[in-house]
Amino acid sequence: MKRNYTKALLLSLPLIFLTLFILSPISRAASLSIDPISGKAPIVDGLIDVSADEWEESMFYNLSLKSNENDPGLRIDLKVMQIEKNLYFLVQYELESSYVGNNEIIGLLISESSSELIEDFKDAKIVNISNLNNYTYSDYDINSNFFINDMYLDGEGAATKESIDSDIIRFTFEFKLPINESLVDVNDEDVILEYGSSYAFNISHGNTPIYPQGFIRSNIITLNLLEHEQITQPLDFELITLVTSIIIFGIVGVFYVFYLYRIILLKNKLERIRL
Amino acid sequence: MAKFRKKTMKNRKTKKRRLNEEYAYRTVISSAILGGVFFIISLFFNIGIVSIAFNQNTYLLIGDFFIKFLSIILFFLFMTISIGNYKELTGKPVTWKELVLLVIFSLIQAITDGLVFAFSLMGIFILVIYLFFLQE
Repeated sequence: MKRNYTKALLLSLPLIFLTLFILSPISRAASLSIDPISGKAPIVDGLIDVSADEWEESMFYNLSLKSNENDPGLRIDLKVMQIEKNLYFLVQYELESSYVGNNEIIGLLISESSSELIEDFKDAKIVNISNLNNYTYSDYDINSNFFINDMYLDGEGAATKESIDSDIIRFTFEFKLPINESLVDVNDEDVILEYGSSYAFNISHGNTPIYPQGFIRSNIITLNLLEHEQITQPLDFELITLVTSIIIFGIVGVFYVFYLYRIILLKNKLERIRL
Repeated sequence: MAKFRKKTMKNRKTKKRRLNEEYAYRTVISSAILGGVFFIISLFFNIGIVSIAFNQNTYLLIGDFFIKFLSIILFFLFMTISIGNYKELTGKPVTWKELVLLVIFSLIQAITDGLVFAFSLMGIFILVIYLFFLQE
């Protein structure tokens, strides 16, 4: 009987691992497909405000950016959210300080469709953080593999770095891309993202701000944008709490003022008693 | 002669009573003002208009928590002193109703933060026990 149990356990272990492997969002050879969720819009400043529950609704996807098949790659944590008219990206990774270059660059190369062919990536949003902790956000139009600076900066990007250990540095990149609109009416500089469509995004990492040569490793994900109607407006708990608090403090304040008034009345009463 | 001494003693007693009343009245006012100051501090920190908790720094987070917690406790303490003296001047004791209302008004300020609420509840409970058993 005991043997049967051991056999069953031995047989079930590989099955469990296989199931976990299939269900795991870790990127393998095929590109990762993500359905962004809606929620509370984060502030694009390279910081995750835990007290404001920033990025709280979205789950982390683990992805490896690789230079080739044999490269163990740079493991990044990725979050994607679609809120109102914007698409938000959070990219985080940790590096040993000896591996940190003068610049740490994360680029989002956007395909015109879900196609992962190099020639279909027409737009690039890049954040470069220097070792002085200054960051720059750039918007490029990709034309025949040439990166041309956009006349109009579309979207937002920010980055920060922080030491989490004596030797480990964590980089946080945030991006905000507009959906279904652009700063220019007739825009051929940016890929216009449309609701309900799928787009391939090449997430690239590099250390030299020369593009595309500066990118060392990358990986492609597919984003299935929500329909406009699917975007739910979450209850703004912060606003509700603020209004409730103001009402509560208002009531206490009224009672306090009433009490002060009673104190003044008491003084008059005491003076009258003395007379 | 005796009549004069009696009058002086009566005057002295009246003067002493008046001084006590004035002192009690001053305590009523000063405690109420201090209660008001801590109420304003609590308003700013507990609503979240002002915060010192930047960049998830642990020390600043603890500092922010203590400001929230202490402002509520000190509001309760000074308002209890003020109301207690006020009632003494009017010749009536502080009723349970008034004390419960003050506890509610103090605790309700911590509605946005569960931890501040729990600590304030504990602090107020200790203060009430102290006032009930150790003070007349």
